[in-house]
Amino acid sequence: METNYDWDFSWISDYWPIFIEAWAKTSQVLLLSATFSVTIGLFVGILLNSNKPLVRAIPRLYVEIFRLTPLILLIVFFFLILPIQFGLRLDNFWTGVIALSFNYGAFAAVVFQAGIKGVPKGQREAAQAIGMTKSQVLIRVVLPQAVFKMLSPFGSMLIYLNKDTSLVSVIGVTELFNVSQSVGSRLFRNMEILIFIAALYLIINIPLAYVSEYLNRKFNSD
Amino acid sequence: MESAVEIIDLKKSFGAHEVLRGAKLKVNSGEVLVVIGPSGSGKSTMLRCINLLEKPTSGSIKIFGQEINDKNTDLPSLRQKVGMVFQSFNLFPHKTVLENVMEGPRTVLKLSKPDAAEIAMNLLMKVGVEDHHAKKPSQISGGQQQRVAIARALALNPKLMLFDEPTSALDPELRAEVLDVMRGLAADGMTMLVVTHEMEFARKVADQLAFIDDGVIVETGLPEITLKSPKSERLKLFLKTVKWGEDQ
Repeated sequence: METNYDWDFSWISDYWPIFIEAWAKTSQVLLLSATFSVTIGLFVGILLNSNKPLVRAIPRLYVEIFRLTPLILLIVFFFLILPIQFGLRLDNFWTGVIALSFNYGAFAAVVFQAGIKGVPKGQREAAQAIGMTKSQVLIRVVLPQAVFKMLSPFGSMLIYLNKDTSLVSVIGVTELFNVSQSVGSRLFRNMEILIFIAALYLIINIPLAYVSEYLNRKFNSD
Repeated sequence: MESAVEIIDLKKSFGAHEVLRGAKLKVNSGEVLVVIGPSGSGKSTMLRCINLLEKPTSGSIKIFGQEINDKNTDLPSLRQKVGMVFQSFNLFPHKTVLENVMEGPRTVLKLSKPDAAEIAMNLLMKVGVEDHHAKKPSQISGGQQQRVAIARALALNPKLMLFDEPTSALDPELRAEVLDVMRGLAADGMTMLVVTHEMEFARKVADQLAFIDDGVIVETGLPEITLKSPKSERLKLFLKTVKWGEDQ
């Protein structure tokens, strides 16, 4: 075993503000992409449960394309296509958020679809039988029950999303991973820096994992 | 007498399988009609066509004189007039007992929270589960759940109540409490259409008995007479197979 490498974390005292700033950017990407992808997922998931094949067709196509292509490809593709094809000059940050949201929106749609489908048919019928309209049935009876069943997959989704925010580094968003590389090439302390930022990802993801597991157990115990 | 329900030549197919093959039935206002028949005879399907949970393939259904088998029928307003109680209760598990009963008045009738709560509480008293109003459905017995489900349907002040095998999912000792509530409703003059296997209830409470088999109403009449001296061979055969009520 090679043992003559000198681990050195002393740079932290000088560089921590840069990493905190990058961490804040990572967290912004996480929060915005999570909000957008859940919103996309909600609407697409409802459409996927339509009993009209025509209504299902386009949502289905969206889900399959965005779920089954590599995320890094989508990020770079959005980076190119938004300005070139659509004349949208967004900064890299928003391009990254949009790419992540479309990809994770496809996952969220599948989660919503399954959650809505998992609510027993009798619930829908009972709600209809007291005179509720279709949208009242969905909002007041089906979705509140579906959401509890989705706690666990959503927990996992947020955890994966937090990890995947690192991929927007390829288009130059100055989030944690991107900054770790630029600072690393300056200090030649890449391993130490990776360990440091790994801890920052874990600070978010460990509580997320435990909270979602706890909520899942609390609400789906019977 | 004004007819509450009038079904003429009702047909319903699921795919190639024809479940209702021209059913005909009339329920007068204020009357209790009990439908009996073997499983798979189409009795639940017929009931579910009346509030359009199932869309009939063809035929006519008139509710208080108004044709409802029509694509222009306003489903929410039809279903306000026609309450339904299901075999498996179908209470909303994420809401308390009181909230379950308040749901219709709040969401459909747009009443204020205090008004809806007052209606709901009175109905819970009527069906005898007011002590459990703050519990979730999973915390009360099946018999209590079904009584709450009856209260939930009554909260919209319906003119007609449909019961789809309301006691079939219950242990025998819990059935009586549900049947008592139904008996009380009948005594109050509620128009009721009840699909059930409870022969005692049919005999004592029904004004009319209808026997359905293989998608058609084979025989209707006064329960006492129809049960004692059935005209059709099919009803004779069916009566030999049924278990009579546990409260005999």
